[in-house]
Amino acid sequence: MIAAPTRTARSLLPRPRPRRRVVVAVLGTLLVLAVASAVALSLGDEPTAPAALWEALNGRGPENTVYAVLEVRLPRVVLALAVGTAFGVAGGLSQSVLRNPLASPDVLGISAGASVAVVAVIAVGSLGGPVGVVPIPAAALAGGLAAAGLIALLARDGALQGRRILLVGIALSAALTALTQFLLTRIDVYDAQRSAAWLTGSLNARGWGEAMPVLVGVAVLLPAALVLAHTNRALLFEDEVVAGWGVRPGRSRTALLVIAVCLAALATSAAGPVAFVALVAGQVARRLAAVPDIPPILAGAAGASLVLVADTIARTALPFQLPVGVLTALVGAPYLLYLLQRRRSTRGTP
Amino acid sequence: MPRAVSASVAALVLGAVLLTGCGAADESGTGDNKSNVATGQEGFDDVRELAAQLGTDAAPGEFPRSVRNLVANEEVGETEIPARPERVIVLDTGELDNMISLGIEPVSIAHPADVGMAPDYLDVGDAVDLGPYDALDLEQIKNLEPDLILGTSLRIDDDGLKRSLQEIAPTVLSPRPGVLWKDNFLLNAAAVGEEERAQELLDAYEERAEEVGAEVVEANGGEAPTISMLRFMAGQIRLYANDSFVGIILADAGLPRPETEDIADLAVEISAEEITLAEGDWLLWGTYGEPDSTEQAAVVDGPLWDQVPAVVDGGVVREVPDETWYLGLGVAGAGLVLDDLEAIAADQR
Amino acid sequence: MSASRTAARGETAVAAVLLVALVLLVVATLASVTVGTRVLSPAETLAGLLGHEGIASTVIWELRLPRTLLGLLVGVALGVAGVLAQAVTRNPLADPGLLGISAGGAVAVVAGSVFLGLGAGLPRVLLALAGAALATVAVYLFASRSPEGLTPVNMTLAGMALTAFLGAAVSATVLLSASTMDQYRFWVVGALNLPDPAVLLPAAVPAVAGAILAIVVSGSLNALALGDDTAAALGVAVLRTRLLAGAAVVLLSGTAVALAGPIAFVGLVIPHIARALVGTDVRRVLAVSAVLGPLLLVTADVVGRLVARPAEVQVGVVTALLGTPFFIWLTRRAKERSQ
Repeated sequence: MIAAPTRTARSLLPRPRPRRRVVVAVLGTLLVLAVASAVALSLGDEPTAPAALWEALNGRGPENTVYAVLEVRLPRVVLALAVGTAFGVAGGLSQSVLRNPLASPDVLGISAGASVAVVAVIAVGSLGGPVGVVPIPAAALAGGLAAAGLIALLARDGALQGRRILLVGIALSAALTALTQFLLTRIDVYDAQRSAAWLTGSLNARGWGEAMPVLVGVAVLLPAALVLAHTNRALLFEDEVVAGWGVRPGRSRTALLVIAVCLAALATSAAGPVAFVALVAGQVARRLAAVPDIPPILAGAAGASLVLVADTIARTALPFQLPVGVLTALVGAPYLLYLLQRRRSTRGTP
Repeated sequence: MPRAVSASVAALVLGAVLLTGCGAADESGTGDNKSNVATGQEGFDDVRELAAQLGTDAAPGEFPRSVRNLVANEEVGETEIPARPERVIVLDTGELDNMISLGIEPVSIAHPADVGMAPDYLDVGDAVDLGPYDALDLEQIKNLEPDLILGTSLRIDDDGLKRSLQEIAPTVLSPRPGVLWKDNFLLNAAAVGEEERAQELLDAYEERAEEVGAEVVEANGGEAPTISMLRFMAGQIRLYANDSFVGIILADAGLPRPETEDIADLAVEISAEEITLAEGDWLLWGTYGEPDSTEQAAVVDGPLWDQVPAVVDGGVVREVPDETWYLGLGVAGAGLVLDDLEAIAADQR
Repeated sequence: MSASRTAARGETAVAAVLLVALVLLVVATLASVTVGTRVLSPAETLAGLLGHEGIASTVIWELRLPRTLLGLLVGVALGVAGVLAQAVTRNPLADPGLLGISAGGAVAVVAGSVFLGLGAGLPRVLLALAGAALATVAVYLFASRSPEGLTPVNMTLAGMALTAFLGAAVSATVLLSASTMDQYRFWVVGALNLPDPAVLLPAAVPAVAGAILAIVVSGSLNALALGDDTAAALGVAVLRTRLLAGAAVVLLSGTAVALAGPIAFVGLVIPHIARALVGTDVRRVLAVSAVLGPLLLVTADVVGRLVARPAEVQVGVVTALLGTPFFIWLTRRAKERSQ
């Protein structure tokens, strides 16, 4: 009575990929991205008209406008795009590989691991240790990767079992979250507030320094994921089925999962655990493309659009800047509940 | 099931390491039954030494001048200020107090996330609210066209942000708020060319502190009372010691502290069960933020309160405003603390 | 859960387990009133216990005793709620914390204090009960509407999703105000600090009601373990049993949340230990869990007071750290069994 009744996979044979729809979806999302970027570059403390924006992008015009566009908005837009892409690709890959629409870096422990590490670093500063010796992005990266590694270790059983990883991830995240909350009770309220902003995910006061590592990561890991995913459509199917075709699924699955984890950890290190982006982006991409395996590029573009739009609203809608994670969480969490109801099966359809 | 066992052990060890790690971080001092609330970036002597290096060599009022300050977390550097600043942006409440005390109205003010732009006792005119200091909008700062930005390295703790601010306008950062409030006042004054005025204000404050101290002694029947400074914060109860804003004021007034609080540190953390460690003849207490999120009610209305020495012996037991006594602001705030102390002494007569 | 295992253990074995657990509980309770952030020497403790020494006596009788009673009450509530949740859903991973029930109660309490200004006391208990009830219904609906039905994984995921959703709503509120943040960050961890001991008595009423309901339905729950059809054939009103058991879970975990915040893993771990000790009969598991629950909670609280003195590690953190390895071990065991 412990295990859920296993259903036979609905279809054991690969369906032909509806390529045209995927191409249209990618082009459409890129168009949204272009428009959102232009809008994001125009909005700020003082809005910039399109003509002035073009001038400013070329380094001409009033000093303050050039500064606003090139030094403040452009790096932030690039960072939003990089972080969104990384989260989106990570979400798409983990949902495909684990065959579960609820899989995301949050579940894989990256958010919880990074959070503990960052709050621990802030706490050391708050409690009288050195400030700024361990940079927060480095701590986040290390914490996220360590937690993901620990979950993989605990859930490992020959192949990486989708649901086992999810459950172990949930449990370990719960323990790490308890630790984070404990640390939050030990530090002063200024640092707690700062930690809370980081824990929500924020692009405030960040720029090229944070964007570059994520850009490099995306540039290296996205092509790798594309190659692996493209040559290995087999990852959609039960291990036994794939093994019957003479493919060794474990290795490429693990490789794709490692790529997803690294991308999510990089993005988290730059912006904090921006809630639900990976999860929503993967699902939006799947619905847009209407194919069972999620095209990584589409997931990346969806993630980038989501973060960019949310961040633009977060920094311009109120007199002061909100962390972007508040907006993505308020959109993403209801979507998660909706997904849960729509979910057909943990198997077969990611 | 050896793997399961090793897995469980691994998870436990992880938790234990993290817990002892932070436990170790707060046990920096006296051992026995209380831990000191550690305070500095590198411990207090170092921070004082650091603060002593900061300032300017320029003649009073002379511009251009260069001011030594923390240009990066671990680096003292020079900031060039070409002319007497007229559009000053302050990034925390201490700097705000300093500027107002010197008669300078900042054009814009950043502040902690949940409080207003300025405490009630400071009149800021029509300064622009810059929002919380941990979500600064550089674009907005640039558009305000400041010619000086003042803050502390502890609050603006990102080196990239320090550089960005420096590119917008000359930026002068002191190490940290609180214990260094006098040094910070002089450093901020050096940045605006008011070092002489600042020294006058500090001298006047110190003179008044001694007078108020004498009034307190007189009110207590000629004998100096030891004063316990108790503060309720969310999740913490602290006894403030010598290296705190209020600790320095009491020292300037020549008023002694009970043994537990007479240490070179910001504060001693105690638990609700240990409230009787507040051993002063007088007990002054404050509450940071919402009283509901602290143990204030459970302690002050609780069973152990009646056994606190000041309560038993009928000494002064008073609530004091947290905003001035504990937030560690500046010379104007210090003046208000002395006012309160004077009023308490007058009540005792 | 095979019936033969139940039969293999006799009444005497159950009595022995209960006796040992009760003795340990008495020891833990004694430790809880004598050990704390203020160190009392053995002489002071003895004098304090007998009421001879002023400060020690106040600390023991007026500070630590109410806290210990709270730990006992919350521990019983969580242990019993866990047994019921697992039995009624036939889900070994069920736990009021993991299923989002605690989060529902917690969010209702936070919202009540932020928007309505409701402090500790009876209003808080009622709010927590309402929040817990709503969350229970929500998780049940979300999980049962997924095509696979109420599988353990679906319920856990639904609980997780609901917790994430409620957490997002709270963090949006909390970020806008540090004073709310201050209240929330201490509340959410789960701790046994009760501002006013007088609340204990009225708050115990719903918990006792829940416990009585639990005893009433425990026999029917045994039949439910055999499957809905078999249970119906045995003359058990399946729907009514589910509803009553669900109501008991809400009453118990709602009270626990209102008094101590969302404490995770106690409701998960305790029933499993109880089953390992006395077999699968729900009535026996209930009795043993009602002793083991407070034993775990009070012990964890004592540990939490000692490791970071003079600060405390909140009991919710200690139980989460103890519970996680156990949960992971359970998921592994579930996997092996199903193969």
